[in-house]
Amino acid sequence: MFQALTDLFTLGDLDKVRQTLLHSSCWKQHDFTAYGYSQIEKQWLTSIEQFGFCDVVEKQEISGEKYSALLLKLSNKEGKLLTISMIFEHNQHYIKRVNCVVDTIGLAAFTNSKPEEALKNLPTSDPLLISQFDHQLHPQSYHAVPKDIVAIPQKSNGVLESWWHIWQANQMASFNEIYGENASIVIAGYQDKLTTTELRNYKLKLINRLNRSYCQLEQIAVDKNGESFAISWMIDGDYNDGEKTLRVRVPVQSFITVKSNKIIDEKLLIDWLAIKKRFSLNTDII
Amino acid sequence: MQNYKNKATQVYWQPLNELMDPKGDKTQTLKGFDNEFIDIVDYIIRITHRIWEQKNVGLCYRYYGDICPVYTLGNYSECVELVVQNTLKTIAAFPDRSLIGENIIWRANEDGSYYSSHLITSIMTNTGNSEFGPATNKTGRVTTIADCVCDENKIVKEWLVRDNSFLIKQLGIDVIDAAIRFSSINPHPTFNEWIDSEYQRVNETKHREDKGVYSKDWNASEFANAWVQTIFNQKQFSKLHEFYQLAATQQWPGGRKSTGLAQISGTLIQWLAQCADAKVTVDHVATVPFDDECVDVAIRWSLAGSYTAHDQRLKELTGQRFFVLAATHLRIKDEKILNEITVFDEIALYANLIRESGLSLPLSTQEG
Repeated sequence: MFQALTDLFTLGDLDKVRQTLLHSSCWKQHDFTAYGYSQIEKQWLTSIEQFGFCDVVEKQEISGEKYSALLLKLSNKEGKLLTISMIFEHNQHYIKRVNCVVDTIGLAAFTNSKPEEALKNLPTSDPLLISQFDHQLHPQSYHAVPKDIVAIPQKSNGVLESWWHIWQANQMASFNEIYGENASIVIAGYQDKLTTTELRNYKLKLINRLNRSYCQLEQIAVDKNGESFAISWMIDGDYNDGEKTLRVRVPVQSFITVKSNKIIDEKLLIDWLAIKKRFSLNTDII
Repeated sequence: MQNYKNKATQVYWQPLNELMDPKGDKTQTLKGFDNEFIDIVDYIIRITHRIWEQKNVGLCYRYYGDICPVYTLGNYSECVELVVQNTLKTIAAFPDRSLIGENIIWRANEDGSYYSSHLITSIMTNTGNSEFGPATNKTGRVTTIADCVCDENKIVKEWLVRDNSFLIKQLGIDVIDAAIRFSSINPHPTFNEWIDSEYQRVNETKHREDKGVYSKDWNASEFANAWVQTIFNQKQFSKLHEFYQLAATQQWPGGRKSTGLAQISGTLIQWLAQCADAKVTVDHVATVPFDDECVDVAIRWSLAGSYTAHDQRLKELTGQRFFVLAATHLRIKDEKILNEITVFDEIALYANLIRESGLSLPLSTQEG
């Protein structure tokens, strides 16, 4: 499955990946869910046209029982880099659902185009009606933590819970405790690797741009080694887009590797242009 | 949790070619059905494919009873001739419509018939005029749940719900405009009688009675009734955790997508606020196993109450009777909901309010 998904973007090998899909499989990318071969193929071919036929310069596979994940860092002939990630539901034989996130800010740079031009080429997203809800973490209300989604190996559970506490409860001090000294950090939209301090600043900036924000876990793929995780989650919040305030939803994929109780590697993927298109934003959230 | 193991076809992980050419032995009696079918799931999957994807509309004569009441929130049809005509009209308006069978939850009835609840995702391009307006030439996706009673090779009764507001939004049509257009169609006379009797029946439900999950052995019917009574009738949203996993997903009509209790609570509160005196009945429950950990439950339910408009364009409809025919598919793990898909037709719901009011509401855009 990993090779089929990789070869799709490097060789355009549609046959190989087609064999892993069912008639009822779906492929979500840029907040649009393609169903059936006709729509899914259109999605693939559009991506291949945008990305070109690329080389893989970095690859992370997370092989789980029901959910697995793949992160590809692709390079084009000019040596520019593009990161895409996929978390997918499977039964070891077939893939049922793919949730693919493309770093579209990176894609604009990758294709030497302006973000506005790259945005135009994205599909119209699925209709989304976000109902208002109480975002507060009341003492006796219930909010998912990683072990509520999937069994997390004990050696990594504490770090993962603390990582989620950073996002869910804004516990900024945990940055000092759970990240390795030389942790490798990659954030969508940034070409270079960042430091933990820069990630902390990014988190603070992002969360302060959204009022009444709420973070919700969706799915977690756990690698066989129990040290690598791919997590899909989302932030809901009110965004002040100039003269109007909108309730927005920001889907996120985080790839985390834990060693000796420290995060040594983290990649944070967000399709910012798809979000901008979905909510017709005039300004950038971050 | 009860052991619901059975050997009938499981759709979720099956490739289409195997669904179309099943190799297994017959796993159900299927008295009076064509011998080619191995179980009720196989029957539903293959006849749907033949009628819709192979466009063999005339097969409705073979697979529908001459008298076959079909209930939708938008209309009623009684005989196979209308099933054929409506199928043809839909295929004409959406000629590339594909029906992807997502799941079938079924029950064998004591009289030898079967009840099937079929969850379908359709992809279709609106190249022809439809009841919602002129052709848009846009492609959309829609979720449908078709609940059918099948007896001796024929569908003899059907309740059909479709998430039309989700489809309409993809086609670029204003939801209220679509409802206004749809309200101009006069439904079958039996439709009004059916709505009247259903509205009265549902309104008489004892919504304040306590219905928890008390049995030692968990069962789907008790769970479904407790879910409806606690959440919909009694509005006890702090008890959502008794029914949902903490990262449960919920799909509701019109693009309401929620994950986790906070979002789910928001969706239910906001939606129910437009019918704050809503009463709900569970009208049918079916259960099948999904895998070693999960069971799938299909619930058909009805809601009645009075409307409170939140949209200014519909404010004159406040106080009108509000009736919903809905179907829900749940995947349940450890006795709590992991995934919920609820389907009803919001366009028909608003169209019924408009038609019954006798008002002539303006469209948001000038008709061409």
